Amino acid sequence: MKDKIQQIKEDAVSKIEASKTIEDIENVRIAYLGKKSAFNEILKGLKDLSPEEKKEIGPLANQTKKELQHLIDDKKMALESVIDEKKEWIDVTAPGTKHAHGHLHPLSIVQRDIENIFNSMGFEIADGPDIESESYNFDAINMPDDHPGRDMQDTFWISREDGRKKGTGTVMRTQTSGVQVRYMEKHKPPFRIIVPGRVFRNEATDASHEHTFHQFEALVVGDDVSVANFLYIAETFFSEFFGQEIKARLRPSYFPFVEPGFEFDISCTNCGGKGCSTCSQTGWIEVGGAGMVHQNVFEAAGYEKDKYQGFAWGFGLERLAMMKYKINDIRLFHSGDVRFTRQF
Amino acid sequence: MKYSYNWLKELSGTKKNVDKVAELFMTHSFEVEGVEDLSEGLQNVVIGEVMTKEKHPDADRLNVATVNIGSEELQIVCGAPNLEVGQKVPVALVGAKLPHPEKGYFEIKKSEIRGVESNGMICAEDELGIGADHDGIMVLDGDAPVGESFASYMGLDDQILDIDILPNRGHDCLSYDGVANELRALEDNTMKRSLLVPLPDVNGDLDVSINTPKCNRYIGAKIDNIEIKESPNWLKARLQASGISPKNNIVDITNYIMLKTGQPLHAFSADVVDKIEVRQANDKEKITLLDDVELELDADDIVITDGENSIALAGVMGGKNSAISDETKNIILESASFDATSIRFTQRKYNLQTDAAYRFERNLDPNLSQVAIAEAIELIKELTNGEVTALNDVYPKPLKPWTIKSSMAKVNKLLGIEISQEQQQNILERLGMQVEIIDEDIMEVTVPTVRLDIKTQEDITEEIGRMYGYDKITPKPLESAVQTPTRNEERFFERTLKDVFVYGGFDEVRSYSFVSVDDVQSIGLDDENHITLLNPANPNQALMRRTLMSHLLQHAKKNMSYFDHVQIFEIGRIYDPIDNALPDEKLVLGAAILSKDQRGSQFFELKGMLETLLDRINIGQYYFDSEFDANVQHLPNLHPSRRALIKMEDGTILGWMGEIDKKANKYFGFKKNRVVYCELDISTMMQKVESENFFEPLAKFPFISRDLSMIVGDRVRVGDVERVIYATGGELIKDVDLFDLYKNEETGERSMAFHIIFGAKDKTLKAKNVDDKIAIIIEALENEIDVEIRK
Repeated sequence: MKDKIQQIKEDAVSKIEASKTIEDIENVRIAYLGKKSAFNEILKGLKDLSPEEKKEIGPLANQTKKELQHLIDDKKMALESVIDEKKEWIDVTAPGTKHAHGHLHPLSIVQRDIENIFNSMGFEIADGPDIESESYNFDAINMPDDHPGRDMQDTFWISREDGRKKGTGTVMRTQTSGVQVRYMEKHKPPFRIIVPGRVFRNEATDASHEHTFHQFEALVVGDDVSVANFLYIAETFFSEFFGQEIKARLRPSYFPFVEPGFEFDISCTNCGGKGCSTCSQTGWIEVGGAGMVHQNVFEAAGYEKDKYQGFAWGFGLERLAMMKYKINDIRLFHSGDVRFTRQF
Repeated sequence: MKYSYNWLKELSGTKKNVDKVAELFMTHSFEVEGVEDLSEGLQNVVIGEVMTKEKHPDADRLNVATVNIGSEELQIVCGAPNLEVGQKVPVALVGAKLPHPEKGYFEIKKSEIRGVESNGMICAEDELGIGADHDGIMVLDGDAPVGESFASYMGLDDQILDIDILPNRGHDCLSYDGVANELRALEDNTMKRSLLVPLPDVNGDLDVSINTPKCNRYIGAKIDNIEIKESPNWLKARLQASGISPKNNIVDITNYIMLKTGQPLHAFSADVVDKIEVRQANDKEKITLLDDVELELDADDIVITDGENSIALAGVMGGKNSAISDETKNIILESASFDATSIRFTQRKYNLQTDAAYRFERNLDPNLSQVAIAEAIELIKELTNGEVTALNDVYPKPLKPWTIKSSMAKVNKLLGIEISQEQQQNILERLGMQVEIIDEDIMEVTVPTVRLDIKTQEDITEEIGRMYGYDKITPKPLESAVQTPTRNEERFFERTLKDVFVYGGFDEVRSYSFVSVDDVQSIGLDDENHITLLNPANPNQALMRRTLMSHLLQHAKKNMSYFDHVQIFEIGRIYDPIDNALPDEKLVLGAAILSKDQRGSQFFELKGMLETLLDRINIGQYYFDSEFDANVQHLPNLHPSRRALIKMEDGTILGWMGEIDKKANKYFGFKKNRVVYCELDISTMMQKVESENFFEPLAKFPFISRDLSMIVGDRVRVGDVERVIYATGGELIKDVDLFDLYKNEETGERSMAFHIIFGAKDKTLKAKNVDDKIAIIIEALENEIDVEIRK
């Protein structure tokens, strides 16, 4: 009896292994484990065996049945997971189903990046009007009334009293610096703000000049904010923005609302400072102006003179976007051309 | 300004080459915009003497010359008509690379011209890149040394630094003396700086008077027996290096001294002028300037007069009537100081950009007048044999050096670095300041009058910082703790709006804040109600926009050439005028859809986008209202039967939308394509956002849905039907959803079909409850509005 079971088992295992289709395996199951199978006959006949035989054959038969059932199930699952490659084949290189989506303007992307970086450094985002009074745009930031910046050729005027009357006109703001004073009138140091915004200069447009562009101004004021602090913030910001280590360099410059004033360069984002065509072999790229806030500006905002110190720093959003994306014509930003937007 | 390196070297004693000098300036003083080598292209050009000249055997117009260049004699074929034996001429040797406007350079090669060998070229001015003359070869003075480098003979072995002098250094550094002093200070060079030169002692007195507060000082010197002639080469070369064309010795000397000291000078002909009075111009006083321009002046201008007639527009340009000529024998030389602001306004008013005005408008030290005229007189004596016969210096309030108390600690605190008092003192002294140590913190600094820009502690700090070197400052983090910044809610809201539109398939664009009168009128707005620029960039950008519509339509049109379907949006400011105040600047979102596919209406595409947006930002109780008067709302004209206000139930208007009307369509050139536009006010939307968002338990009992289909009258709107369903159905109605809207184009019959979803919070509704409700709804619909339910 034992031999017979062993024989059935061996036959079944070889049949299971030889099965090629779901149908084959099903036939194997019927043949070896089905109601009319030889094995079933053995199981049925167990009751007629002697107690000793029962003890020996019973567990063996049941164990064998389980094993076979298991092998059949596994084989079936294996056969089921085989697919008809011809029927199921698709061309995975064919294009995906289109889901309409639009694109953010590159200035929006760059502005978000900048705002996020400054936000994480504890800067608040401040804002002011595009159309500004002559007094905030010029007088409050220490630009004397005979400053060339007030000339008709540099500033868009909405209204203007006789050329020499101080502060009574209205202009399209020529810089975001007027917001410095607006903010300081309402807040006491210490504070850190950034002022992103649209500014206007009455100049002829070409690939690198626009009458409408965006400035980004940072202002930090406290008891002991220094040039060294400015350098730190500047290097941290630009390293974060360009995703590489950036060094900052200051050169003497002059803006009426700061003293000392700086021209602000960063190490070339293309060559890292070795010198290449992007930086005209100098290793540096000029990105903006900066300086320590003039005490006259603090006074205009109602602060006590010589009480606070801080830095102000401005750069052009378009210029950064042009550097980051290698855009060669500033006029594209306001062109409304969707072919431009869709690249970002 | 352009500066000759050779001249700066002579004045400063620097041993550094031009590139090192430029680097020093860049790091510590001013921007050097470029360095130009004047001898570029002239390396192999020497002075030669024409020894023989014979006709070319085979060409009528050519000559064959032998030219002595010192080391040898060269045979050169030359076509110039003015070639003569004995002339000293510039000779480009074989291998010379002469400047060439198109090719960059032109190389001289040994050649054969019609069978005759030619070893070089005798050059005309234009061939050397130093002039435009091509009438013949350039003939040099008889004493020109044969064999010497042409560039060095011409004073062209020099390099020119183009330096951008900052506005606050115009007082001292629009001059060679100033820049040389700066260089000396940077190099810590002990070479003596020029001292205040005394005026010559002269017996004769010149009648000079100042009758205006806008003239600080006037020195007049009468110089007799001069001879007007051409200046020597060295003088001409110096002027040319800085971009000034030589004229005659007197004019050249005044320009030379101006370049050197920064002080403009002017020479009047003493043959016609014998006294000087400085005063304000009379209203409508006329003057004819040196360049023949006649001006009508006003009382803001300053003039120099001879006691009666104006002879110069002070600080700007001399008058024609007093100009020197080739016959002039006696002159009055002026060295004066005028009010900078006044010169600036005069210069701008008449658009007279002269070298003199450029310096005066930056404010000059009146003490410079003395240095300049003293040096000028010396040079005039030397070069013209002139003699000073009378002199007068009117200087009512002499400017004296001033003092500033500078604190070492304050300097260091602002810069964020430690610089010792000794170092600070050293830097200031190098810059020509006198320093007296008061205590271990305070220094009393006496500032030379030429540094008019140094007035405050911060000015001193800047001098110390830049001389010490900003590159020596180590970046330091801010010491105050980072505080969580106040969130700019509007900015974050704006970001959400942009994201929703972008994910909805719209491309973001930007446009100018300026529009034209035509743009405004074409959409039915009144151009009179717009803020207007006094000086627009061009007439089409004169008004401040009050809607983004016209720009977005223009952008849509532009993109129509490349795409069949354009969906664009912009978030930007519009400007509503307010009397006697700054305008109301509103941030709005404008969006437009233009499609060449005219099936269906883009109206509903855009409306769907707005509904998605409002849902996303959590504004609930809004509706689209077709009843409005564009004039009352100051809105642009829209298609009268395809427009809507987006309103809240409390009457607040969030925005408006609609198809553009025929006039705008024609103006912007959309032809048959329809365009739909919307505009939403961002701050109004922000106020209407429902910030309280409570959880509602999920429904436990199943919903039952019924469909209702109906034929509707001409003017029945979906909104009307929905309103009746909600009103009659009460709380059991969970949702009403239009799923079919049809108009039979032949019969004109309109039909609508809705899913109506019923549900209750506390029980499973029975079919009978729902059927009863439906019956009531049907009755109400048929009674209240013009519909017939399909049974």
